[in-house]
Amino acid sequence: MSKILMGDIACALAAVDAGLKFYAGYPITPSSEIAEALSELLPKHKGIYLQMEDEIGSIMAAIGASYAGYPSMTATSGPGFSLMQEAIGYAAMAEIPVTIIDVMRAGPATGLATQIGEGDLMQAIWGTHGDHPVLVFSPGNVREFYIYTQKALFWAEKLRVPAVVLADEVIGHMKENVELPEPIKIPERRIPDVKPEQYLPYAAVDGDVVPLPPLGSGYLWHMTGSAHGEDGFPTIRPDRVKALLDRLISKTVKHHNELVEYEAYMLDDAEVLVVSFASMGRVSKGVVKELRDRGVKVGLLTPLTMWPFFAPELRAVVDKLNPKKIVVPEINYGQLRILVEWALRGTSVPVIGVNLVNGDLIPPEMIEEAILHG
Amino acid sequence: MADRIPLSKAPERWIRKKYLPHIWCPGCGLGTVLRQLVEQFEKLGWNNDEVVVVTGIGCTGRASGYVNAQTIHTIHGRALPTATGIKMARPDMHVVSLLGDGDGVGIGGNHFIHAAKRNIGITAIVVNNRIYGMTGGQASPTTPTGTKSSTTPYGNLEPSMDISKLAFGAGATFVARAHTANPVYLGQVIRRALEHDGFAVVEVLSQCPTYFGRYTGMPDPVEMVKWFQENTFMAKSPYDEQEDKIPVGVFRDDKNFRELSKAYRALWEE
Amino acid sequence: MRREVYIVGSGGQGVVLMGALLAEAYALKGWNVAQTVIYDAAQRGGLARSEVVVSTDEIYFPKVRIADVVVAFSPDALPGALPKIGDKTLVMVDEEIKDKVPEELKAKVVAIPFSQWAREELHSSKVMNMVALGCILKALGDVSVDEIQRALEERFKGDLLKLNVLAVRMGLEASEF
Repeated sequence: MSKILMGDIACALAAVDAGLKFYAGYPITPSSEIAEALSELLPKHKGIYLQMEDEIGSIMAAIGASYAGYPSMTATSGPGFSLMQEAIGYAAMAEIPVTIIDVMRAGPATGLATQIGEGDLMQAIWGTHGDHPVLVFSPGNVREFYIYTQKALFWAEKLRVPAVVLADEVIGHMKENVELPEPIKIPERRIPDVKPEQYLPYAAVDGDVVPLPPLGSGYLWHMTGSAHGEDGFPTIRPDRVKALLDRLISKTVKHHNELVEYEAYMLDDAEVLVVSFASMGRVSKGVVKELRDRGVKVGLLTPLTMWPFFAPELRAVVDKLNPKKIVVPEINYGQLRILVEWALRGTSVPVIGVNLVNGDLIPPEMIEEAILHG
Repeated sequence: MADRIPLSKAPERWIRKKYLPHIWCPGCGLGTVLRQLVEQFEKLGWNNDEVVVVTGIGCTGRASGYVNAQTIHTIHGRALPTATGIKMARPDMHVVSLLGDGDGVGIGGNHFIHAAKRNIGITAIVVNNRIYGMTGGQASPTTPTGTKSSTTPYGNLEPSMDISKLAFGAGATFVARAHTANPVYLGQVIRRALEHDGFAVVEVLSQCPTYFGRYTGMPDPVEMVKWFQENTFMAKSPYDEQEDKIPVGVFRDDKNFRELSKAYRALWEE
Repeated sequence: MRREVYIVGSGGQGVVLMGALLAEAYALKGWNVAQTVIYDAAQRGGLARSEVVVSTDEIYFPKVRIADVVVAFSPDALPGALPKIGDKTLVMVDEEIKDKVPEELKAKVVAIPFSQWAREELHSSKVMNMVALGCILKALGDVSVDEIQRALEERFKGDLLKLNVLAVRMGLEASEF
């Protein structure tokens, strides 16, 4: 049965349906509806909603609860997401699953508090200091907001990494009729295969990090954001530091094929390729459809996983189609375009940005103009 | 003050010997605090896997690594929100947070206020050495006015922050101050804080001979410990006054409340 | 088939509820809907804009491009609506603000006494938004008062429900435009 849902509410429902047990957050437009919904829903599912004093406290409380065995997330928008950056690095280093929903608004600073922006892409991927693993998903409609909230929670737990869902104000606040799919459940923690005295919290098994043990089960391990050995105790030994960071970075690389999702639309014989994400992905789809109806050979790629980036997949499409140009519409000054150019380094296909930040969606005419005459 | 610390097996069970020697300077007060903390764990008969020790960054931040429990070394200033998440998820755990003055009431000051306001069942032990030790002796929020440090070469112009008064004002339901010169009393206070159901603050005046001592003309830790003995008095309130001395004692031990993680469980039942 | 409706007014005038009900009514008829809202920072009194896009096909652009119907309760909101108004757009304003309509729009505007009817016939100026909603239904002609009533039943009960349905019916059956 299809129902009308606001994007933020779909996100909250997705989290509860997946098995979320803990949410901590700080009110901020346009994500506050997620907090409001979870403050009502979580206690009914033996979960916990906590409003913290700021976004740093929020994500750290989520990390604490996650450590204690409660699948956790927080939600925010650009200004709060900026405050969370150090903690995202901590979650990556300490390898504690946590999911961050960022409903993007136009920045910088307070920007346009109630209106759309898509300028948090770089900050989602590279916002914290130091190289680190992070997963970034980006939905383009209410249904996808539901799906990718659950995928973020799932993969965060599975790989012990921070996962970000980059929605935007239009997706967060828009009401659409949606059919919700079967939920994806967050994997449960289990007692490790080894005895407590042999347990190494940061050892690799088949290249992946060992699972987290439940709290109170006799496993007395140490967790730190400092560089550490397999036992979790701080170290500055170069070989151990290298082994740790190599393994951390390899997490997203190793699971690239499972993690990377994108939608390909009308690619056959396309002479112009459009690449776009979040709300602008769906807007671009409309433009491509309209132009195809008029006989224009144009196709669309919409990444749903922003990190790891679908560089090899994009490259393969471009090598096959050899398009005349690539058009990248986005509500920022070219953050996705930089990733596209990086993916296509060494080729001669021109990449044209369609960029506008004024609080609204980019009008289809601007995209059409770039496709036809850009 | 002639009490002797009885011999105890607590360190055997509660200290991770494989990570010794610790990183702290000779004469540092942190060893005294840590010893008294694990003594109380032992006396209370707690299991190692019922205890969660959460620290931030700084000299005190390193304490968690030495405790044989479930230990977490978080980022600077964020031990209390992390501990809050843990306690909310697992009210059955004894959650203890060791904080320094910079970590606890400098960078983490707002979390400190709000943990107190929430009355979440965490024991916060704030080891106040009145200086940033790990980064090389910079002024901290509790550095006394006029004191020189590596960043107040002309003397600190700012008034210093009173951690016990802050905790008192923020509504912590247990507030006490003790010092390292009387470890037995310190242990007693820590034990009462650990047994307290709500948010408990123990401010521990502790010596940093390497930096604070050097800058204040007391490079010998014995002198600093003596200074604590001579410049403190037993009091009932952090607002009590006696000459220029610092009040020490249990300032509040309120039992009339519902701790937050338990209150939340009650909400589930409704 | 795609319809676009743009509703503007001051916060508290029920602009958001109108959009939500309209979207839900179309969804009950099996249309795809996308409803969005833009608020000012003010919680009361600032401008509120509700955009409803409904379509029998997939909706790609979820906001109003050229509206089929614009409803305005506040004259301040009209200049901002100008880019959404095309040659065929029906612009309905509350009669009480008719004189404050910008010059370039005067020729297009239909003034309807939403608030007066609500006040005088229904003794509740609050339901002026429901009267206007009825006028939108009439202008578009796709959904009936039944769908709106089902959407209203999710929110109101008893006398309040009856009053709202009555107000919608009043707008729908008005013959003024």
